[in-house]
Amino acid sequence: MLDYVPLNLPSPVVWATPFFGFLVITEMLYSKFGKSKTANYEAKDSFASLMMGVGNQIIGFATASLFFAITVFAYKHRMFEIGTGPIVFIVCFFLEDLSFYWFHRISHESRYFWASHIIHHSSQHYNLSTALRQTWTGTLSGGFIFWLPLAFLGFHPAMIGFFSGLSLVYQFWIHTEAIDKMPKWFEAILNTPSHHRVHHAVNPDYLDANYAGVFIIWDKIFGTYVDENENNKPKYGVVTNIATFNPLRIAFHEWFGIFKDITTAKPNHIIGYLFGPPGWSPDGSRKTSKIIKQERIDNKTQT
Amino acid sequence: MLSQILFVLGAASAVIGFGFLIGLSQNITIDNELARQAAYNYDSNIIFDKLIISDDKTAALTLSNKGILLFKAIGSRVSVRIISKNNIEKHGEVILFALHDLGFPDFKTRFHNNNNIETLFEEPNLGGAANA
Repeated sequence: MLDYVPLNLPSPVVWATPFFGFLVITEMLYSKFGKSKTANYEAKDSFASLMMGVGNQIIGFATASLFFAITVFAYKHRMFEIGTGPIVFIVCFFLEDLSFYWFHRISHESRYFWASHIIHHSSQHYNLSTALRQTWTGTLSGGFIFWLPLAFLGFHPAMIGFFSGLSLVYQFWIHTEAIDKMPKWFEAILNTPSHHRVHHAVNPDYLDANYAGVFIIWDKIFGTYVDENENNKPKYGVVTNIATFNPLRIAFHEWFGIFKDITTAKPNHIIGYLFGPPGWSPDGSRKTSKIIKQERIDNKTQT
Repeated sequence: MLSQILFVLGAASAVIGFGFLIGLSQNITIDNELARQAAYNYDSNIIFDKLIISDDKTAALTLSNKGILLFKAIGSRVSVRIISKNNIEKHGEVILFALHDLGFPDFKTRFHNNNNIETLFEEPNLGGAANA
């Protein structure tokens, strides 16, 4: 087992919290009194989102030691001695973003991980407060496994945690309808409000797209990129929207659904209900995004 | 750690309070057109029979496959579920929708001055028009 030397780096999310508050208030004012008067804020919805964010932070503090202990264990068994120099920092920034892409993609493609991630998509509104609607069960359900390969490679756990936090801070500002499009060069490389609106939309053409954290290039490389079409305005939420602002219900409703399904399922269907795509059912009575997209293609062909 | 939590909690409370203060709370009333749009947004292949508006916040649409499409207003949006008739109980004028879904809580509603309650329990009219 190799040595572990602590590395002190700030928590980007904690540092950014005052800016989150300031920007949410600014966007609220803009939506209420701005020229466009886009009524995209709903106080109860924002209340629920902020409670989910607060809960995420509290549970995050409580479970940080679990994440840290496992990541440090992986780091102590690292394959390479790469240190913590400037180039390592830069490489870690990109690889952390690549890890996020796969974590995020699997969080949409497997119901087990979707049960935690659905919280972030459960609002039918799209504004800066939606960015704060975060999971309470992400760490406990093992979402951090997607970052463990970085620690095995030799990236310091504190560095991974730092860039993971930085990525969350970056992703805050893209949850808005107040910005239409960024300059072309920016849209080509980085994740933007336009790209992320597509990701949060339930329009069949937009399902399962734009999983990027900071760099949109990953979606372009792995074939999941979809451009926002001005004639196809995004409708936000999930395919079967929830009807509650209660944070506890928001946090656990999909877990409850999984529990209900697997306790009444035949043994050979349990894996499908648990790890299959959201909407999977043995008799096809429910709809996965793949089915919804196919129906959309079929409808287009017929017309 | 505690100070960080209090800090985050304080910031969130300030933002929420501000939102309510400037009147960002919105509520919509479900009408025929809104329900029709929500139905097509939910599933463009749905063939429905009769629409019954309950109170301002609830509407039910009987489907040709004997199911029911249930609409519930949530703030300024509408949530929709397909439910079976087994999940509906009638207690006089009060109808209980029991979905057993943590994200779509069970609820009771009263169909005010509405003689169409029985429609929810009728056999579907397959030739029915998509109207209320």
